[in-house]
Amino acid sequence: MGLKTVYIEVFDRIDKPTLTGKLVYPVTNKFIVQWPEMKRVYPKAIDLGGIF
Amino acid sequence: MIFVTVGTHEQPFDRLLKKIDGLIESGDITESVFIQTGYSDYVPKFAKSKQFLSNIEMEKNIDEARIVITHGGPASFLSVLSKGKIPIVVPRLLKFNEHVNNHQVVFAEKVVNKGYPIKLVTNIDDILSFIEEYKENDMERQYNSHNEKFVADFSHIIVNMVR
Repeated sequence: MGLKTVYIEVFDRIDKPTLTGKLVYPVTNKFIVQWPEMKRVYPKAIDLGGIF
Repeated sequence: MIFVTVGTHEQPFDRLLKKIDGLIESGDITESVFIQTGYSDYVPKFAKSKQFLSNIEMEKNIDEARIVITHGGPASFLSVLSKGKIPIVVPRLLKFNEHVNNHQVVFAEKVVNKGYPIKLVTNIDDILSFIEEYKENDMERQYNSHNEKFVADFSHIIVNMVR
């Protein structure tokens, strides 16, 4: 349907992916992470810092 | 009021409950204490307690408490931080059969190292001094949440996507 998707990776993983994150990373339009270390796990991610 | 919450993990956290209850019995804690006990076996004799609370009750207790003590579950201590309060955090440990591994202490330590102002209790015998510190330094409970900045940046990304 051409809908755009955004995924926010959980706060309580700092340097390892979640299963959900691994699954949606290749297909989501934007992938948000909350820790700079996560850019190594998901290079195309946008780091917005903690949501808390 | 001191509010203690051990979350919904399906193992007891008797070590924390007994310690808090003991401090009331000994007269070291004189203010009222309310404990959400979860799947613990120990039933507090001196503190008021309830096994589980609704979301609304959780929020209300966190709002009204002078001090909130939580287990190391991220959702538990982060909900306290989100309300601008600094939680005292006691991680569940494998060696006491409180959790399946030691990830609660590992994550809590990382959060501390990242600069989040949680009070991490690694030796439960220190908990009284953590509680007493609050009497002297109430300002320390204030916490500048990063939430507003996150939401602003996130909104910007979404707006640009739908253009």
